[in-house]
Amino acid sequence: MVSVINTVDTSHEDMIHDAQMDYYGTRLATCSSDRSVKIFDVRNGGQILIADLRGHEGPVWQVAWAHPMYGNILASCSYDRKVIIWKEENGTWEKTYEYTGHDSSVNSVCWAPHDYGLILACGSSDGAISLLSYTGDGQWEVKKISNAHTIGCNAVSWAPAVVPGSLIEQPSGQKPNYIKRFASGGCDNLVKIWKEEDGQWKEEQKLEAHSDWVRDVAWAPSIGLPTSTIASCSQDGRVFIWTCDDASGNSWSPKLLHKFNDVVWHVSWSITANILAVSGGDNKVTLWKESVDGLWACISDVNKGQGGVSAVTEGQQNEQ
Amino acid sequence: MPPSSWERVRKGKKVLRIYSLSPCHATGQPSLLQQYRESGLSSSGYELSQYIPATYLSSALGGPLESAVVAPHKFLQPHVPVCLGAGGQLVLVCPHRPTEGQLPLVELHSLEVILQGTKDQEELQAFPGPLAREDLHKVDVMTFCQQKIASSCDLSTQRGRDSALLWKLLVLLCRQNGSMVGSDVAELLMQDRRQQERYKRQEPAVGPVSLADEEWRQLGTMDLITGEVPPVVETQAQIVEKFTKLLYYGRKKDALVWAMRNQLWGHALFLSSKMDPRTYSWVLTGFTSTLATNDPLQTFFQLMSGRIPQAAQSCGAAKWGDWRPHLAVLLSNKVGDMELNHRAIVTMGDTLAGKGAVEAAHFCYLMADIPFGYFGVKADRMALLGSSHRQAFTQFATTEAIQRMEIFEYCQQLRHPTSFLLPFQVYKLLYASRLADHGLPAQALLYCEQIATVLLQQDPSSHPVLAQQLTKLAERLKLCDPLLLEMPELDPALEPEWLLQLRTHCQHCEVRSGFGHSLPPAFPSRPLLVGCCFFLSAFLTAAKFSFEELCLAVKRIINPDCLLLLLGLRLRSSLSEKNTLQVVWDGFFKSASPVHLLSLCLGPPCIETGLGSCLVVPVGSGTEDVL
Repeated sequence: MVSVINTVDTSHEDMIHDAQMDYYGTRLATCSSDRSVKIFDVRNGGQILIADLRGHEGPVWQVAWAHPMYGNILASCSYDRKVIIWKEENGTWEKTYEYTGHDSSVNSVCWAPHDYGLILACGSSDGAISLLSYTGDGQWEVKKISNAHTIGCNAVSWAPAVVPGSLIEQPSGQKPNYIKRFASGGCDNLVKIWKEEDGQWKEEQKLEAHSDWVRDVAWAPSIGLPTSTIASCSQDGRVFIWTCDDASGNSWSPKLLHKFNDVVWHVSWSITANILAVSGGDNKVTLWKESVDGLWACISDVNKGQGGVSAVTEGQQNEQ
Repeated sequence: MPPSSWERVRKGKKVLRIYSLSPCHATGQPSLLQQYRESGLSSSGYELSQYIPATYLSSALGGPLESAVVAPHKFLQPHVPVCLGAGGQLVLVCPHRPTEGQLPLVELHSLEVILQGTKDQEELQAFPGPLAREDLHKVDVMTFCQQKIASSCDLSTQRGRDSALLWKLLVLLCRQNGSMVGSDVAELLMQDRRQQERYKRQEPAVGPVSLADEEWRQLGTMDLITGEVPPVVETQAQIVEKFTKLLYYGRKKDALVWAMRNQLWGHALFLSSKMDPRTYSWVLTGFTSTLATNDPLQTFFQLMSGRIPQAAQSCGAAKWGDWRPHLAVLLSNKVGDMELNHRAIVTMGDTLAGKGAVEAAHFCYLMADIPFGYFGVKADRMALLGSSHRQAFTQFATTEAIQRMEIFEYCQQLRHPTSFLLPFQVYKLLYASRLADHGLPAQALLYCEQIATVLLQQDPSSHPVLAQQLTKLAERLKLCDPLLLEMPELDPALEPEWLLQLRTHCQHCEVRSGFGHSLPPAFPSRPLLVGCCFFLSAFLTAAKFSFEELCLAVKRIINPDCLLLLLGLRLRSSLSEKNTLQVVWDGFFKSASPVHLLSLCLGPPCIETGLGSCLVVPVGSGTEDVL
């Protein structure tokens, strides 16, 4: 049976670097080397262009949708060193804020969990990570972590706003203590975890396992299960799954998901983190799931462009 | 290993990768390139920098080269960005070059189709959940259980048989609409037992003999050749005769010993029952000691005697044999002392659990009505039916375990339609999340509705994290409701009632307990045409809220942009209601565009009952003086 339900012709004039579904799965945002960001309504198999956003002066690397409680908001980052926040007002999309505080290409943007407010993390090739927080009346406050990664930061990803294990514990009636955290991956081959303490951002953990640039990090969403999980992928072809079982977030241990034969560009979690999608230089997309015994297995390799899929049987061994 | 991107570069493809490092003249530090070489970091940066000379950069940019480092492009080749959407979609970009005429396509795949045939998907699809549906027939549930027995229980192992037994119990419960009598279960336990175990009889342990040796010898005649006294084989009649003879001489004790040695239990028991209690107990003990220690009959007698049977502490061991007949005996013969019976069954469960026979242990606990508790709480005996909560969480919360537990909850609901297991709702949410991630969001949403219904009946503040996470998941999936797809004229912004109520409760909890964090600033948002009900009860006032907190709460809950607020408050404070309303009103006017109050439910009935109600109703524009 064919798995393709819709093929959207985006009319981009150059390579597409990101495609993100909005919160509900009804709209698609894409960005490209042609410097534009486009938004499509993809409900019920349709593809209606809603907006063609121009404003960047270089290839746009990533887009990120904010939580709908704040309205329809999209952030984009580009080689032109700018981060632009777009908003839909009265049916039309407009630029609502432009951030130019980076000295180099901004490679990644990620919105914080909506519980923390409207906060955007931006990672740049200048090695810094900026945090833009909306404070009201069109004003944004900026906090910068300089030299977060030497040479450059390639990816940022926020931790979910939930205390690990709080869902399955006996309800204690205690007020939960959320600590803002996010992970970043950089050209120093490291994945770093950042924590906010007294309004300041500090490096909490340094996760070392990759032997080349970290291309993407993705902190798994959580409904409150005991384990915190981060996926990272690298130029070295490896994808690591980092897990931490204590709520204080102190001891992370890596597990090699797989060693691919080529660079791995993207890792992306399903909405409640049961499945991890991995995409690499061989242009293949594979889906991975953790078994009951804690081993990761490939449950599918999606043949893109041909419509056919092959569900890979379980038991594919991890290769070292 | 050289990076493959470098390989492609070498093969002569057009590359726009510009990575040029200028020396830092100003600071006098060694050039970055030098630093990279020395540091041994990233082969990519170093090798690429070799390829493109700095002069290329200035011509490409059409301007002079700045002294700052120019970053590499994040992507130079087509690649496949991928993302998983809330509606069960997999989005992937086709790695094309539109500049060379290839189409700039993005494909949306159905995750449900992609995962078709995988073990997890099949497991999820085989289950007819959520079970609290109106159109569910219990036959479907029973069929599922039977399929489970046939396919996943390895009947050659004890644990496999125990697992099958648990499923059979669920079938029984289902058939009998949730009620079970001890004898029904006993029958279930004794079913399918291929061989009756032989419980080896033992010689009676009679204890010190009071008869003198000579007298025993007199009972048999000596063999003249060997000098030994051959054992005397006597008929029943002769034994009884001897017994009687002993009694002629008043030798009751001897008579008892004689009777016990010769299996004349009826006589022995009758006689001793008329003597002193100690003698009677002695004979009883003598009688039961002829039974094997693992004979269910022993268990029965011990229970009848008012003791926790030995079986309760010893079963599960390999030498003890099957635990089932023992439980059957305990269940079918509930003694007057219910507490003893209960303790016996629980002890048996604990023993079995200690030996790792989880399914067997949980079977016992079910018989003893042990409540379900929480994972991680060691004192709780069960969290999920048939699954040990002393192992790692992922091994504990398997899909099968959750499905089995849901069937159990369903059986209980057959009996009492409003019953539910509160700790279990957490696992239903976990199950819903699995459904959502496997491309089955509509079913996941149904589960969310079930959990919400249960929580709202109970009190969402009894489990705030569950309520909060449930709200988040349901919000995300709300557009996957098949009703919305079938009837596109329905406004997608309209949320189901249960979701509205749940969210309201969550926000109520957050404010009350100081949950959460500083408020997100009120970002002017799209007008929402939403109706919602908000109830502030007298309970709220009992929490002794300050004015500020109250205003904060109201502001947070209600979208100030365009919702109408009907607010009725009952405040047992020194401040008058009118003042309160004034503050709220002012607050709204300051925050965003004008808010219009349409009406106020402040009539005496509201005040007397202590109920406040706040109705939010869609409105157009135009100021109306309400108060």
